Amino acid sequence: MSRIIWGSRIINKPSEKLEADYSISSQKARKSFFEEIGEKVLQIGKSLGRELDFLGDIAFSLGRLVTGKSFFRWDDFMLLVKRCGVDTLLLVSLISLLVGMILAFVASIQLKMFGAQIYISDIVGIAMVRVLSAVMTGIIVSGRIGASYAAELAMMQTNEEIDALKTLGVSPVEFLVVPRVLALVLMMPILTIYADFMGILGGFLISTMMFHLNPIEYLNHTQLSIKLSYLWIGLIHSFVFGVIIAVAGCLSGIECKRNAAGVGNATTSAVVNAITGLVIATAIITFICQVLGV
Amino acid sequence: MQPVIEVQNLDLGYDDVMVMSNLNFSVNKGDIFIVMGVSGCGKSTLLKCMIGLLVPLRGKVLFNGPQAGHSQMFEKSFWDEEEQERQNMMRHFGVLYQSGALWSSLTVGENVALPLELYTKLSKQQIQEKVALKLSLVGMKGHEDSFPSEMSGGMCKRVSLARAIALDPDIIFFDEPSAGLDPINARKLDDLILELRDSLGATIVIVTHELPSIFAIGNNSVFLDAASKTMIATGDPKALLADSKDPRVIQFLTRGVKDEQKGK
Repeated sequence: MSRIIWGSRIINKPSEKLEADYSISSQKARKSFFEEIGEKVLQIGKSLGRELDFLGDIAFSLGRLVTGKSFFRWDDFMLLVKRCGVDTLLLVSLISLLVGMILAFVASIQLKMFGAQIYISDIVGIAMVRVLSAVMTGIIVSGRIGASYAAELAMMQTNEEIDALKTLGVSPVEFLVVPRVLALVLMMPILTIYADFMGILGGFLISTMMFHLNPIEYLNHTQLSIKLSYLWIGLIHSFVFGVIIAVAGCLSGIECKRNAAGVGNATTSAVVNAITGLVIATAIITFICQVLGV
Repeated sequence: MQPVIEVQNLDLGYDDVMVMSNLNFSVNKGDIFIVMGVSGCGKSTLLKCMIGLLVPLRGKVLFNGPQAGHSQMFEKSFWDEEEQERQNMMRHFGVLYQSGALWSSLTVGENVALPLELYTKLSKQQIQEKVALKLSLVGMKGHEDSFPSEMSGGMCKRVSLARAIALDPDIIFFDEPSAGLDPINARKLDDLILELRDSLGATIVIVTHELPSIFAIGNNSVFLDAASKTMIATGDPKALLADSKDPRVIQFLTRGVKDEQKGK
């Protein structure tokens, strides 16, 4: 029979030393509007730090994957790739087509005053290929895939599935995050090129059917106006957006709090962070392109 | 008897909130060790620290076990080791989580196979055989192709247990194993735990406040008290019930019945 010890370590309340050591604060005072705003601003720094840490973890895990030291389930990866395409293709088609049409309408307002409606093709083509296709695809993918990444990982966090991985000695970043990031980084450029075509098609339909431009002339003009460098700029955008969306989605999911609101908050913050990241990245890439003269 | 786990001067908490302090106890080889106390007292927090998910504020968790290739026992302080060594130590643990924690995107067979794929050099055929064996041990043979979402809570727990014992661990941790189970299935799970202890020779640590389970299978325990934020008793639960003078321990172990009788 085991020995019995009772009553030997009774402490009726946390000792003063412990209170001093760990500064127990069970009651949080109500904060004013400005205090809460200030707190949110201060949190930006911490949140950026966490995102950089997370990116570092992903880079480390990718290194392990490349050197064959990490566990990678190809079946899961292929499913993720398929889902990125299937779940977003219809929306990308519709939105890109409509954005191409809207651009054609807007461009025509000024151009028709000079009888230069043929340049609609230049504006639609350049805008879609350089930046708009990538941005629109990024926004759609943030809503569909980024949010679903966050919800999935948040549910896994809530159900202790991520803890189960950790106690098995498996890094959740290696097992869950890396395949998701790679799937999105692979699919974003493909979806963006597809969106380029759909956007150009939208502009083409409006220009030929409503403004009665010659279809061959329109296509020729489009071909001449789009340089290969524009295509590369669009692809760079899409690659960067893929990383941003995947990281925002996975980080929000993994950091989810285990309560009723946790999963909802994770998906919301995944989409908000991803779209904010897209806009900031677009501004930075555009600025760099301007400086480089491309 | 050789202790397998020794907890020394352990303080636990999250950020600036302390949950438990000054924990000292040991778990012997072959024990079914119960971590008990009222809801919210910090039982699961203690378990998290023991299985490597929560860094303690202070103190040590020592694990003893036969080192590969040596007859000598080794003694390692879990949280003082490097990450890689901690992961090596964690491979000797099996954990059954409160919710089962089966990976929802994988089938039952894949859930049990994953630890084997990661840490053994068995062929696919051998892994499948071992998965079938482990599932049959928990009464779930034939469910290899089902997904966790297609099964009841009790079935999920059984599969989770099969996964926990896939690598024949030295220590198996259970977090509220009977939670959400009806009394009959809870009893079956208790019997299964006893069977596993005897067949695998594993040491079992169970976090629970289910009195029938505590008395049915526990032979050693620690009692955590929420008010004082520390342990107030340790020993065989049946002996604690018979001999303890602490009213909090007695109140818990008798579901407050003795207090009511005194009141009458």
